[in-house]
Amino acid sequence: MRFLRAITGPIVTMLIGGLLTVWLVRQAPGYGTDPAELDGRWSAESLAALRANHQNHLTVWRLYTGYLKGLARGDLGTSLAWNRPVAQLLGERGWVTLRSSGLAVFLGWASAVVVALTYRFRALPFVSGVSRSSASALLCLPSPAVALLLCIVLRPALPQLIAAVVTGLAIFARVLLPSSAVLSASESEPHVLQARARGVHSIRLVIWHVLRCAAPALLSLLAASVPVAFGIAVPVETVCNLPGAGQLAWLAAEKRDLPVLTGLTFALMAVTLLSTSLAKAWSITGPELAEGRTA
Amino acid sequence: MAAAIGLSILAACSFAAGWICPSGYAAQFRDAPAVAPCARFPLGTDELGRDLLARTLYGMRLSFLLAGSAALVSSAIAGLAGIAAGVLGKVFEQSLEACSNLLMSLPWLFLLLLARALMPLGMPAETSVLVTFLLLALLGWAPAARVVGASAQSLRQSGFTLRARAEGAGNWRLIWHQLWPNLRPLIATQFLVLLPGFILSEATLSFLGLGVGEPLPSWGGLFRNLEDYSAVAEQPWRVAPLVLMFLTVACLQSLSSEASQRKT
Amino acid sequence: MKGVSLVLLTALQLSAAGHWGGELRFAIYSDPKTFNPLLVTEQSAGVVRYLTGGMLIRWNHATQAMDPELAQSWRVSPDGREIRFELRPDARFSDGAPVTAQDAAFTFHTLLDPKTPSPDADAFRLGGQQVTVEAPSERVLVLKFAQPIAGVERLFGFIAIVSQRTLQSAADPSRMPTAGPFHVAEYQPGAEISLVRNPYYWKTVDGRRLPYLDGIRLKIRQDRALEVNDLLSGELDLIDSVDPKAFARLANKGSVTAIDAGPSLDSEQLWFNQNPSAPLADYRKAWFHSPEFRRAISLAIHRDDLARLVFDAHAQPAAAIVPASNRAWNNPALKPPPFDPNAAQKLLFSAGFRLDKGELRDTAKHPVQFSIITNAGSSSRERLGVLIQQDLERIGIHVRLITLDFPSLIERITRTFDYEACLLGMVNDDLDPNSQMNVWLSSGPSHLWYPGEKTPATEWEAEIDKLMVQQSRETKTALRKKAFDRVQEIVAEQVPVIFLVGKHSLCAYGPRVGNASASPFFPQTFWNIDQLYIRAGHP
Repeated sequence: MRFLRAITGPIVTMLIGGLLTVWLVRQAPGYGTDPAELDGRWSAESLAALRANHQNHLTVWRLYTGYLKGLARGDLGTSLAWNRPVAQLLGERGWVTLRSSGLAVFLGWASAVVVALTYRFRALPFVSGVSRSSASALLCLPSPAVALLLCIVLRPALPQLIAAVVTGLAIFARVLLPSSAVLSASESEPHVLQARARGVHSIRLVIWHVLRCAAPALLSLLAASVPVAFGIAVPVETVCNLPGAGQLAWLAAEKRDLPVLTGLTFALMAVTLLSTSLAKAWSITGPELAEGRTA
Repeated sequence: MAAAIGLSILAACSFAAGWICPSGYAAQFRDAPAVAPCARFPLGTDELGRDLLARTLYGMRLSFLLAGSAALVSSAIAGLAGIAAGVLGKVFEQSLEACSNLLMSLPWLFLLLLARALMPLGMPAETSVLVTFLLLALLGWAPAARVVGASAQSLRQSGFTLRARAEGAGNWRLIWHQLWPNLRPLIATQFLVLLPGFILSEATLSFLGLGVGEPLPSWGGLFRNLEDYSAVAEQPWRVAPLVLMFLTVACLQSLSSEASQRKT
Repeated sequence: MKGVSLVLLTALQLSAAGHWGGELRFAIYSDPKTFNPLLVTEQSAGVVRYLTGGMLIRWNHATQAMDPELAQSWRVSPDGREIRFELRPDARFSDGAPVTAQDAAFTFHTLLDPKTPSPDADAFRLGGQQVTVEAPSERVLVLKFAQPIAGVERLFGFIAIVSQRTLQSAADPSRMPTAGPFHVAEYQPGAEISLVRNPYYWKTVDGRRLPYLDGIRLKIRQDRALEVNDLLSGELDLIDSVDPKAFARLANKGSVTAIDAGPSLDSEQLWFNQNPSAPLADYRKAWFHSPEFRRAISLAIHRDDLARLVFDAHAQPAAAIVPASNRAWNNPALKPPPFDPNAAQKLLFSAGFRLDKGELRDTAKHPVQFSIITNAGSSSRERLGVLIQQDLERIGIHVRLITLDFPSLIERITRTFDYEACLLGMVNDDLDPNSQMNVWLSSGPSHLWYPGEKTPATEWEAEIDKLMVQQSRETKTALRKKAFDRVQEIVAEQVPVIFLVGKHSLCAYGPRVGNASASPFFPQTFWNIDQLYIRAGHP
């Protein structure tokens, strides 16, 4: 029963998300258009047939229920722009993005937390100054421009590596300042102050007390970094000509490719829900395990 | 102190753009396209002969007003939603979670396109970009709200909060006296992350026709030119808006950090 | 080495014998939507078709005449209703199967099937005619038309001959046999397409089958930011169309050859929405319907500045529909309108407009303001718009430049007609006026300012309709030219479309490429792909 209740929420969220995606794309200007229409050689009849192919006459509800029926059969539809099964496209390109950005998100987040911990608890103003300035600089630099620069400087490095570096740096910049604030708040908890006053070693203090308090917020930062990383992947993969899910999303949005966009949304929602659930689970069970160990 | 002075100078320059560059941001000196910095044009000109200093200063005004307001609104919503989720119980927390998952995953770009399509073509450029930034503000709060919510929940379990509850403090008192002072630095950092993010978003959105319309300058529009890296290598002064944005964010960050240190 | 400026290369077509072997590399800008050569609607698929497709006859960029290919000879009947091809006996697909008239007939039957959505097919069905296709023998193909189609030969230059086997394998392009110089060996979606030489290609030199190249690698690059860099580093061998700003940089590098091949068929233009059902205020419609208003706008635009500032002088003020590079159809009597804001104002005053404190107003005192839409993401078009904004501001007209993403723009100009003026480019692959029938015919769906008119809205449009139909059926070239010259004159007088600039064709080759011969027409750099080679000493 508890399990059912636990999964109902995410499933309902995904269903609502899918419906909203179909509505947004269907209602957006330019849905059902094709740049090929501007070819002056088309006759009026052929143009009408071309336009009819784009299913402009179907309502949002019919489009969505049709999509869900296909999904139930394992068929994610066929891309209007690429003329290929959406499942195939997502499989190929999703894997490219996962390879380039997956580890980068974690490393970017982890390095930001470690740096924040280091300068907070070692009272290293120089490190603090440099890392904050770096984070500010990275926040101000457009990710596509950084990617472009790295593509030139690091030639002939693999575009996956460049995308990973850019994603990692961008996540680092976005996580450093908030994690520093979270750690600062945890630092001023009464039990932490008391432990410090009692002379508890700083590493033990940090691991068993400060991080335990800050864990839910820090793990939320990690979970929130996943969709942010995807957002960064969109322009970075496009600039690096890396055929990943980010580039797919940009092109599909340009071409109003509804099946691809719906599939991408479901995939992104699944990954986001999974990461937030894991983060939440760990933030609860982690301290409990720690309690068990110390008891 | 230095940060406050720096910010004041930047703000003063942007508001005094009309005096510093009397020719304005739109005037085209077609006999002087893409010139290097000189006495007549301290930051040179762009390909259409427009004064880059004027465009940088006016752009700073527009970008900071719009992106700053959007970041402020977004941070405020994130703060309110996060605190409410942390304090008001499981139902609100789960609703926030679902809402933020939707906001983080859906292609909201199409909402921006739809909004643009609904606006009449005769609408002034300033109004249409205001609507774009307002939508960005309303859509951009989700990641920050999750972090604030998680922190609020932790703080709800902390010793001083439990003590305050035991002494009979209600939700509003808890929020105002216990949670808000501890979450303020976190919300401030979200503002500092969102501000440059929104300015840069405008550059990306201009590829879809959702940016600031010509001839109005914006930093997003100026940053778009930086993607022509060869031109940047030949004309390095074009990175001036980027440098100014970095200085502004660094000053704001420094002020924020000083404020939170003074509090402790 | 300075960039080489050439107007048109004519004499250097087949230079010294090339070096055999090697792989050529260049970029295409999207995945081809299809590998079926009969369904090509976009450029990437068009590139693959050009490189792999065997045509009966093909247009030679140097001579601007048709050359025999799979057909060794052809004949158009005097009444223009029949064309007869005699196929080569040695033409074969890449799997060794002979190319027969039956394959050619199959190709045209499939193409002309109403279920096949193809703009190439529509070109054969001008005026709704039926086409009869016959293959009376293994090597003879005959097509018969109910009405003559002027210049019909050039249409065959776009049709790649396929067999049933070809179309059955269209989903797996590496298994598609083709009759052109190359066939697809491997397709990595989103990454690249590898082509290898057709071992049975019909063209030979010194008894050896062309092409010189062993293969071509088409790199799929959605973003062009790094293309110039890749050419300079040797990762790419050529760029088919170079951005004008990048051209100057390439021209200063000794390692590459940057070529301005002269005026292309592409132009930029501005037109006003004259659709009576457009959701615009009546007074605005009245402005846009006024030829004096349109002529005044045209006179107020500084075309030289557009060419100089946006295209680095690699463009020239446009006079009319057809640029000078299209020698067969250009009307030399037509000149670009001069930049004359005073004359523009006089015209506007004659039409009842007045200046009020520097702001132009119409007879009902409405301030003359309108919006121009154009596609976002094109920096050159945005710059054009900004320059036009300033030019019109000088005569008291306030213009709002609105950039829209391409699908939104297409919707406005083809479906909702919710726009006032549009700034867009015209891209042409075909020199013949028949390719623009649906643009100039008032009933045409691509009749920019008012598509699909039920009856011609004005007398001059009715005259254009008559002349376009007349030239499409006229078999005598001189009479066709006369009719189309008159169409160009009417367009220049009435200005339904304000032609701004004609762009030059800019391209670049790396040092490995031999027998390079740039053309102003697509494909600029590899139109003679079977004769390009990799120089000795450059693996």
